[in-house]
Amino acid sequence: MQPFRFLHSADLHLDSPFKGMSHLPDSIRDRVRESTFAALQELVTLAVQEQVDLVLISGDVYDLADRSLRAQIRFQKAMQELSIHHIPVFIIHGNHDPLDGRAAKLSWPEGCYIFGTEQVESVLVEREGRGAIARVHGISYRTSAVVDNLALKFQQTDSHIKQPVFEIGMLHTNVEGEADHDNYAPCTKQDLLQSGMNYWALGHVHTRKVINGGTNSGDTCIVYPGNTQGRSVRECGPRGCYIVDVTAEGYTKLTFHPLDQIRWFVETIQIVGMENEQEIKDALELKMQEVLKLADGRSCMIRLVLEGRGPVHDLLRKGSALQDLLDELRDQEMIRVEQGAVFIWPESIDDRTGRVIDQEQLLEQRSFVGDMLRMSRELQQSDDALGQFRDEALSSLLLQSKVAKVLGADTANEDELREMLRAAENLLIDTLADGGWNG
Amino acid sequence: MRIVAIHVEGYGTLGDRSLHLDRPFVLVYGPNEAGKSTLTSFIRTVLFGFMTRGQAEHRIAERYEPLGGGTYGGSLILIDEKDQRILVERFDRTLNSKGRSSTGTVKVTFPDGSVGGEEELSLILGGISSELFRVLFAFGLTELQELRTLQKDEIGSYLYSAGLGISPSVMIDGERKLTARIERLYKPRGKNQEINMKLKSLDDVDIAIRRSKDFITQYDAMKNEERAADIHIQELEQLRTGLNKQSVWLETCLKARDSWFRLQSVQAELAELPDLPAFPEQVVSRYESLLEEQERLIIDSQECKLKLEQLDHFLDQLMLNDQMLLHKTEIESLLEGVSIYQADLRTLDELKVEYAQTNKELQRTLRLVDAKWDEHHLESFPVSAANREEVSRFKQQMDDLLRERNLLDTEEHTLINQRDRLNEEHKMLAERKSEEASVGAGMQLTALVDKIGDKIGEPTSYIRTLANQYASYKLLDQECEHLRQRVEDHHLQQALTDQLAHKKDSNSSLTIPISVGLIGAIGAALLFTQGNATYGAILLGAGVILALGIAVVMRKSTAGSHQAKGRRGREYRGSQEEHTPMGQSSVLTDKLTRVERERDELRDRLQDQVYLFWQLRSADSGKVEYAWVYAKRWLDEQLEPWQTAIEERSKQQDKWALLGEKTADLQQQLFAVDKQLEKLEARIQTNTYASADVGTRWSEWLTRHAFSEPLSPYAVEASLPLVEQGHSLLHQQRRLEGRLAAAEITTASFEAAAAGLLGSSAAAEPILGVKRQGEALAQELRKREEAARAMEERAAVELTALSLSQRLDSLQLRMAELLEQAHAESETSLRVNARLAARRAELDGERRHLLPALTALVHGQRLQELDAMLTEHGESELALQADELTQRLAQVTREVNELRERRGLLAGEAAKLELGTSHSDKLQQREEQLASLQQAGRDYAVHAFALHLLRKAREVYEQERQPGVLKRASDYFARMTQYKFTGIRAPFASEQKLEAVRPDGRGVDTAYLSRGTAEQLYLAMRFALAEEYATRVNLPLIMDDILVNFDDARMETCLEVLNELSTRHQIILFTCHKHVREATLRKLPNLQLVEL
Repeated sequence: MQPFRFLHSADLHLDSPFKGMSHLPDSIRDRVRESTFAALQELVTLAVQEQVDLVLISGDVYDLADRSLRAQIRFQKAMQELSIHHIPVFIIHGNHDPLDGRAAKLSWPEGCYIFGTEQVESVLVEREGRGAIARVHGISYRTSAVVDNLALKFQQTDSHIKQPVFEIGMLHTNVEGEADHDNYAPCTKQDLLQSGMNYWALGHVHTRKVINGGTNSGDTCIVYPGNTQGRSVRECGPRGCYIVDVTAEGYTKLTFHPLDQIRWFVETIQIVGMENEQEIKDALELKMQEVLKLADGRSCMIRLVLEGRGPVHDLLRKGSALQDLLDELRDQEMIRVEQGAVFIWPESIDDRTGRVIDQEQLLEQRSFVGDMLRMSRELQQSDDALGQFRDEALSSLLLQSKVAKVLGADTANEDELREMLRAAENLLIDTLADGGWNG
Repeated sequence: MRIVAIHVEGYGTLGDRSLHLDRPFVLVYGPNEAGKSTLTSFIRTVLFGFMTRGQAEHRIAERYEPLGGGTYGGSLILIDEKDQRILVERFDRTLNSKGRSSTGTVKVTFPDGSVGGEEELSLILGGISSELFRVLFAFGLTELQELRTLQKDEIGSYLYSAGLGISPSVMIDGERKLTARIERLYKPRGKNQEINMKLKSLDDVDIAIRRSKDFITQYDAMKNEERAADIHIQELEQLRTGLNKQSVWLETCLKARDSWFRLQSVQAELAELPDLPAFPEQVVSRYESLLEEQERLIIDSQECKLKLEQLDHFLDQLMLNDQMLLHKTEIESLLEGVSIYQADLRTLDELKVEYAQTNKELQRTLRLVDAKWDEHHLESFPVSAANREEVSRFKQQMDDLLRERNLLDTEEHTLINQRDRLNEEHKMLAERKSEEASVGAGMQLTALVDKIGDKIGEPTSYIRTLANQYASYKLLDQECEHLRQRVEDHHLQQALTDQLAHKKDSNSSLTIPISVGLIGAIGAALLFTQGNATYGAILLGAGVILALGIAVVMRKSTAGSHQAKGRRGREYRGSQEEHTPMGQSSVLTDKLTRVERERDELRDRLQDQVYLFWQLRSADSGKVEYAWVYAKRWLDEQLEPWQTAIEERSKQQDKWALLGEKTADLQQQLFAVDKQLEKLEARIQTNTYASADVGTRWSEWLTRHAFSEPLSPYAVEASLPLVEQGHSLLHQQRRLEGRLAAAEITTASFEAAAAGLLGSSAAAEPILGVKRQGEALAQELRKREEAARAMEERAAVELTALSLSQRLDSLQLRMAELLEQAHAESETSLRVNARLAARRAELDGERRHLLPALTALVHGQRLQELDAMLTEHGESELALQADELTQRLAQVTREVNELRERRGLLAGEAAKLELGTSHSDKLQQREEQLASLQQAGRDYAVHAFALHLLRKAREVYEQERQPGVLKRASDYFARMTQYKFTGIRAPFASEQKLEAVRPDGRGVDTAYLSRGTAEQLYLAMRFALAEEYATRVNLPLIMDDILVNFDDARMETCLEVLNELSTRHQIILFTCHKHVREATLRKLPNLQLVEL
């Protein structure tokens, strides 16, 4: 086998909006809008710089089936650039950019291969002076919702035996039904292992994950490189691609390279012991500075979660104190944004603080509040009960299925429900305290 | 917990009171005002503190401060669940006297000796509040009634939240708030709720996004169109280029057409024209100009000839006189002398006149000097300084002498005058002397005096002594009279006083002086009227004084009469002394006597003297009788005139003496004047001699200088300037004579010269003659000049004529040459040939111009093509073709431009779409809206969860917890009401009310219950709650007369319940009612009865 190097990426989601952000100022929005493209540009630069032999993009190049023209043009340009450097690119389309989606009729440069939807196609990659180095197999989504197990379509053929090279399978799939992602083209790890591929270049799951194999192993590698740019609080931390070095023996070495332009963070701050707003603000600012240092010169989006029980809880609840605090932090950040500098934008402040109250004692009490808390805790123990409780509590909302969907009421998972229930506990205690109850 | 001992130190009406409570059930009996309520309050106070002043604001009595002052507070001894005896003390001041706290200071002493405060006490009391204790554990009827309306939230809530741990109102309120918030967030089919509104705007964004999705299709279409346009543009461009070429050729042809035709015709014409090689240029004009010149030359030479003739003729006519020129110099000098001669003549005349005048003047001057004088005299009298000096010396001497003489004459005259005056004066004095003497002789008395004076040494003093003595006599006489009068008055008064001895009548004292005064006054008035003012005044004054004096005296006498009645006496005026009237009278008399004697002596002396005087006088004039009467009469009448005469005489004598002195003086003066006159006469004599001497010398001088006498030196001096003038005139005259002679010589010489030239005939008018000769000479000279000029001119004209003929010859040669060059025999043929040659040259030039232009136009190679084209097609045909081509070209260009524009537009649009961020912005916006919606959704969910949780908990409570309290209460209530009611219900969700439940399950609102039943209900509730509360703390139940509204039966059942309760809680029951006491004692014999 020829040693070679390739770049594996997936889920570019070009021109995709950031989720969960409200009231973005224009200047931030501009930076956000550019971030996925910038990540792509970074990818190209990396490929050229690292002199990779091929580039794999395992689906979801675009964010939507009806991909944006700008995204297509920018992507075309990126491909052209790689083509100029004689780097072949292999692309499959995933649930977000199936081939039935509306696309501009763009011409793709030489060396850019887009797999079709009908069957698994195989392309032998030959490099000048080195001959064949790998064979790339792949299939694109025809529609956004593919529920077939496409992995099964990847079969070893005679040609594999005739000309043994490093086999790479490209598939946009949800291996083992990852809960956080839509279960498209579901397959099992076993299915993949049995396919005879040396490397599974997967896409779809945005969280970087090596399911099998890995660095310095001859085992079949099953790899999710994650997406290239985090776009919501759910996509925290570094995002990028893998550079895979294949040795003559067929051993692989995976190196992660971050490509993201704006990095997401969720940070928790304890309010215990704080006495006033200034202390909260100071703590938040400190945390933001720490995070900014972690981000290696990237701009950041941060969700600040306030936790714990303390006297400032009441201060935060008062009027629009929380919003004021957020606005203040944002105003400070705006100055940096306006200067085009690296910024850390507080996406939101999640107030999960509670009154200074001995919940444990309340839980022990044979009192109304005790009953209530106990009831809540019981609900949190059981997913079913939680679901039932949710259905009861939100019955009037759930009747409007569309609205419920938009609000995420029906899609909220148990953890979220639990979190909401805890918030409800605090709210109840606060409300009762407002009425004069003091434990 | 139990209370085993109560010690009141000072509280309200109570003071230093102790109670010991041994049993679980204590009945405290006491009449009104025994201190039951006070005691209940005391227990509460020790356990929970004094009621603060603020709390007791309108119930100050409830603070129960000791009425008599002193210690405020007391102690309780408690036994807690662990059987510990605990001492609780509370006083209004701190034990260590640090200060005062309104709730008082508590001290808790545990059996092990440890000490605590409020905190420890609160622990013992299970942390219940004072209020709760008051309502639930230590209550009276009032508190029961309060429960009835459930006014107090705390109590009400406690009733319900004995197991609830929260005020129901808070719960209900919370529920309401949550509901409100939820409804604000979302309502199905709502519009203004937060989520509803956000949903709406999300929909709007979605629509916009859907719309912008179509851009892709548009983009593709655009790209296709762009490509098609590109191809079309290329095709059209090719076509346009072809057309353009063709059009350009046609245009060229059209442009070249005119030139081309012209070239053709030029070439044809050239072929026909003869070739005249080396044809000179502009031959005709040149020939013509030569001809012209020739003509001009001929005319000029003719003119020259004519002029020569004229000049010759002119010269012939000029007649010249050579004779004239011979005398030229002479005439010229004479001409020059004419003016001088004329001037000399004029000068001569003037000099003559001047000479005559000067002479006349000289004669006049001489006459003025002296009639005898002539020029010689004048010349011989030089006006020298010596002469002048001499004359003035004479003048000086004569003047001096004359002045002296005048002075002397004046002096003489003065002295004579003075002598005359003195003589006059002397005469006047003599006259006055004689006059005076006659006056003195005229006065008789004076003469008498003089006479007397001769006898008596000094009559004047004699008379004066006589007068003085007479005056003294008269004074003395007067005094005597006076004194006598007084003596008489005194006597009279004495008589009167005696008469009026017994009565005081002082009237007379006034009457007398008044009458005296009056008399005086009248006398005075009379005297005044008669003109004798002096006497009148004296009399008046005397009268007044007298009157006053009398008045005073009379007063005094009156006073005196008072003292000495019946006595008479005389008093002296002015005397203060009192004399006896007799004494007084004698003094007066004495005095009178003395004065009379004095007077008489004086009279005798006077008489002697007068007599003497008479004797003296009578020596002259008569006899004298020695008698006083005569003497007196004389004295009175004659003394005064005598006195006057004496004075007059002395004055006269003085005057005489003065006159005598004056006369002497005058005689002296006269003498002096005569002396002076003599001196003066001598001086006058001297002067006269000197004057005569000077006059002789002057006459000599005058004669010497031929002056006719008698001239004074003054006159001579005045003539000196005239002499001087005469000198100057003489001199002038001499000079004029010289000049006259010179002028005469000049004129004579001129006249001689003129005569020489003109002949004697002309000598009469020499000037005229000379002038005529001058003119003739001038004319001759002019003529000669003209002749010279004409000769010159003639020579020039001859030269010109020669040159002209030469030029003519050469001209004719050139003309012949020209003809030869032009291949012409004559002028006519020359002209024809010239025209032909010109035409040929013109055509040649045109051809030379046209051919390269055409070549350039068609770029050379295509000339033949052009020939063919133009030969074949007519102009209009070509124009038509060109037009068509132009139109097509324009069309094609337009199409191309449109296509280009379209392509540009498309490219722009496509680029816009390619770079368009609006779609992604919308997507981002959608996400943002979604985020905000989800946040609201979460908010909604949290609130909904909270609400649901609250409701569920309430359900649980109502089902599982509430009945626990109510069940027990129901049990008590049923027993107390002897099962008229089966229980108590608390409908939780509705208002916080209690209902009594009838056996049939019907609920009766507490408001509708009878008072007793209601109280039983609340009592039952309290018991139940106290039991419920026992999980926290077991407190004694202190009840203040709560059974009074119960009927006997219910009271008994109630006591039973109490008895049962007392096994778990200490019961302290206060009452003032005997029936209660008895019933209780009867029912519960084991209880402890405390009587207050």
